[in-house]
Parts: sequence; structure tokens; C-alpha cells
Amino acid sequence: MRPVVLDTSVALPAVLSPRGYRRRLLVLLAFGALAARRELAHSEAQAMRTATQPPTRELGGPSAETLAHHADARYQRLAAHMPPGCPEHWRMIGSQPLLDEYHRKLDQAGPKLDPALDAHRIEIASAQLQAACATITDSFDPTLIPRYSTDRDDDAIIHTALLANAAWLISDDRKHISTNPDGITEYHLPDHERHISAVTFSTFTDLLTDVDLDHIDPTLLATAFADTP
Amino acid sequence: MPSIASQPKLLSTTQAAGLLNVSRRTVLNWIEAGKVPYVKLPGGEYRLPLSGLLASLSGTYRLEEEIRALDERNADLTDEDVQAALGL
Repeated sequence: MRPVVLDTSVALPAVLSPRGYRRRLLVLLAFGALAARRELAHSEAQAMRTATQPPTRELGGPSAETLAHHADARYQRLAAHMPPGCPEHWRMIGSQPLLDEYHRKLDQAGPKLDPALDAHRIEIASAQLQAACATITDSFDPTLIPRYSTDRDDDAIIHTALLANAAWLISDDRKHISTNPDGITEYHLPDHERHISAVTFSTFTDLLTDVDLDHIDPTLLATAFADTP
Repeated sequence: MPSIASQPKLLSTTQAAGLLNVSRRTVLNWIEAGKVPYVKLPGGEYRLPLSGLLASLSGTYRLEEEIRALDERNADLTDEDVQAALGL
């Protein structure tokens, strides 16, 4: 699994610019999320089967097997349109404070792009980001986390990446962009060996050697989140 | 919002209520209405799979259609337009 965290500077273009390159990355991450849900649904179906031993225990509600089949169908529907051999190990990680930050920035920037972008549409844009997350970390109080950067709002993003043990924090915010020749900035969790490397979207695409974003159809995001199989 | 773990997790009704920020009675109502998957243990307690629970309760709106409508509306927006609106 290759967990990544998207800064708002990458996440918001991914949802609001339907033909952009950042949207292609979001489709790749949605593919990873569907793969993760499929794996989890099958694991849960197995856990439910185990829990009904001895068989005197009663199962009820929608069948975990059916839900696992639905997860399979959602995955297969998107997989059919992804490039051959497209990796499913790229996983977007979120946290409640990070999702709140996405929503806050959508509230701020959305109406500048489209004055008619109302609360419902902002909710939809926000829901896309939540749906693309393969994992949501345990929640934390953003006022109680260590100070990693000069911007307290950014600290919640960095903290999410550190909690998730993310491979990369992808950001086009100048505050995160290193002047190092390799374009990589490292943040460290105090008193731990864990660290996170922040890279620009452009640097990340250079590092993304197992798939070419040019071959991913940016219009597939809607397909990824189709309601029923 | 509850954590979506990568390992299967069967929750008690109290844990499910806490994660979803609803009362235990609400969770029991979902079970009685057959809305969510569960295992009933011999002592009468229930266990619920987390992702199955979330999947059963999702669908307050049709995200696929909503995304298509939003994309149609924003068809001309570029990544640079959005980043400029963010002040980048």
C-alpha cells in the first residue's frame, strides 16, 4: 500500500477542475479506495461467518456477502475503464480535521470561482474527497498537535500524513515547497523516527513510475462513486 | 466521522453508536428494521461490521449524478483557476 495525503492546494483543483491533471490523480486514488473497500468487505464477510460459529448465533440485516459482492461490482466497474495493469496500491488518507479543512477552503474559494456554488454543491465537492479516502485516521484535536510549520492549519495536514505513515504529502502550496534540488521537504514527528516527505504535484508525477496519468480518464470519478452496482 | 480501518472490525451497539454519534437506541432501531448487517450473540448482544454498517447507511444523495452535474457546471475551470482562487 502506498498511502498519500493531499494538501488543499491539490485536493481542491482535483474536485473543482474536471479535466485537470489533479483530477486524474483523484481517479487513481478513488480506484485505490474501491480496492480497499472491497478487501475490507470480504474480510468482514469472513469475520461474520466466523462469528456465526456455533450456528446458534443469528445473522440479520443486509448480508455481509451481498455487501462484499456490491464492493466487488463497484471496483470492477471502474477497473474496466482504468489503464491495463493500473496499480491499486495508491491510497488517499484523510482525517476529520483534514476533511474539515477541505470543506473550509471550498467554502472560501468556491464562490470566487462560481458565485452560484451553493452550500449543497460545496457539500458534494467535499463528499468526493471523503469518498476517495481509503482510510480515515483516528480523530485528533488540531489544537493539541505539535507545531510542524508556520501555519497552524497546515499542521493538521502534516499530522494526518504522519499518523497515516504516508509515503508522500502532495502540495502545491509554496510553504511546503522545498528549495532543495530534489524538490522534497521532510517533516518529522517529534521524538519519533517517523517522517513525511512533502512534494509538489509535478514532482510526484515524476515519482509516479507505475502509471501514466495521461492514460487515466478524468471523467471516471463519477463512475467510481456510482450508488448501486 | 468514524474511522475506516483497514482491518475487519465487529462493533458492539455501544461502539457503533459512539462512532456514528447516535444513541444506542437508534442503532437498535436499525437492527430491528433490518437496515444494517449484524450478528446476534447467544446472550442477546449484537455485533456489527463497520464498513458494512457504513455501506448500509450511505446514500443520502446520489453522488454519481451530483458529480456529473458539478463537473458539467465547472467544465471550463482549470487547475490554475482553482489555485488562483486559493491565493496560490
